[in-house]
Amino acid sequence: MSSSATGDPALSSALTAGLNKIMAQYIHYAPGALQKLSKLEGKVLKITCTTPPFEFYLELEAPGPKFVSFSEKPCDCAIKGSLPNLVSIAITKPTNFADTGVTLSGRPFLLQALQDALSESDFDWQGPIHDLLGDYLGPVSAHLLQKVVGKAFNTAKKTPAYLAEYLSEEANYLLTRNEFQHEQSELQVLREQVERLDARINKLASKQTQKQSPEIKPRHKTQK
Amino acid sequence: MDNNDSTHFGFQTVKASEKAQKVANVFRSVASRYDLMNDLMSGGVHRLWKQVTIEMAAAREGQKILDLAGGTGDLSYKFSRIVGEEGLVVLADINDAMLRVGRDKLIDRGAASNLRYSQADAQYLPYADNTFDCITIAFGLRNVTDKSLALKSMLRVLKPGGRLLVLEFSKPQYEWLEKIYDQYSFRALPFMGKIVANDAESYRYLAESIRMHPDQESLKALMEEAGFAQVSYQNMTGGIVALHKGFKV
Repeated sequence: MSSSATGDPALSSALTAGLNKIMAQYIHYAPGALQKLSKLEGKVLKITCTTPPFEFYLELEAPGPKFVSFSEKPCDCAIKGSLPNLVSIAITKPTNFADTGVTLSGRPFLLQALQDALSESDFDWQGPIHDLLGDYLGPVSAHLLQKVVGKAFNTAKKTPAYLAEYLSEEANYLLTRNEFQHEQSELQVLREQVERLDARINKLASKQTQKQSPEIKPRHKTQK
Repeated sequence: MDNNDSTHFGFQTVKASEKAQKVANVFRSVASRYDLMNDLMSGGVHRLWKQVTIEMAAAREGQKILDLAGGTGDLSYKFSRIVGEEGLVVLADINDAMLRVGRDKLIDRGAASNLRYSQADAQYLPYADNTFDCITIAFGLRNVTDKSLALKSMLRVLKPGGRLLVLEFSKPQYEWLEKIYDQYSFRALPFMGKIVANDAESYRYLAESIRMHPDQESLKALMEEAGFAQVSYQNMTGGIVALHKGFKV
């Protein structure tokens, strides 16, 4: 065995140590997530990064989920892709993996359940702010800051829902592509009719001018 | 070990009977600053190497683990949490000073109920046959006088299906890394040893003993020769360290 196939395990170990720290902090401030994750106990997710080459596992076990660089437990689900693609799906959370550059094998429900457990949890964002800044600002200032940030956080959280509602309402008043194309063709017909009418008016005007001009011309001739 | 009962102590050739005493003196000298020096010398990376070892051990609740040459008990502490109350972790080291530091540290960290301490020579392990589910020896094998004898002794006390993990310095896989590593280990390490542990010689021995230790393939062959099956190894940090794994079948 060499380290070339899966990269340097020390690097994977460093990565998993970092991820474990983040996960522990997240669960500390979102205890609801732990409750949801406990329903997935015994499941293992394998994550393989092709470039740079490394792999690690997420073992969902009591007392909490754990990232490890080696696991001998059977995997329930495995995802594989390059680092940018893996990061991309972690951020965008697509409903399917088509055209994402990430391949999935095993039971996809595990990913969905993980996403639900981690994203729908009621994260107590006030906790970390107070823990980080409470000692420096004092409890009253930290509390005020919590309120301000909390409002901003809630607004940011609700904005996509509001925006979706607003857009769906507005969409009712917007033309569809077919309607637009139909309107456009009608407009074209109207434009052509207007142009024809305009041309006709010009023609009539020039005729009118010609009718008037013979009475003037002979007068010029007699003068000569 | 050489045929004429001589062996290496760093770059020196000494009588086999003298090596254990010389190694004991080295570790007695550095025991109190061992953890600090490990962090300084490796930049903390030794913790990652040990974490990989823990994960590859795949220990489970209720198992019996032998942490051989366990020193200050880094692996034992983590194993004790994994195997739980039903399991057992034996922290063994030939050096009483290291064992004492390890025992005090583990007790201070609250790990006690499933831990036992044993002053033992890896070549002649004082345990019954087929006792342990897993044996680890981290940065200890290169200090053993007769490595083959030690590996056979480990095989004897392992349960069938049990595994041995040898975490040890090895040969860097890139030439440029080897050059940097040589400069670092022969110049910086003794200097750091002098400043922190007031003992440059012990850290010079450390660098020399690493060079005299079998490389990845040689150690793999040695393990196979001792009777281990499915022997494989994993290079870490460019081969500065390698983790060998073998099973008793």
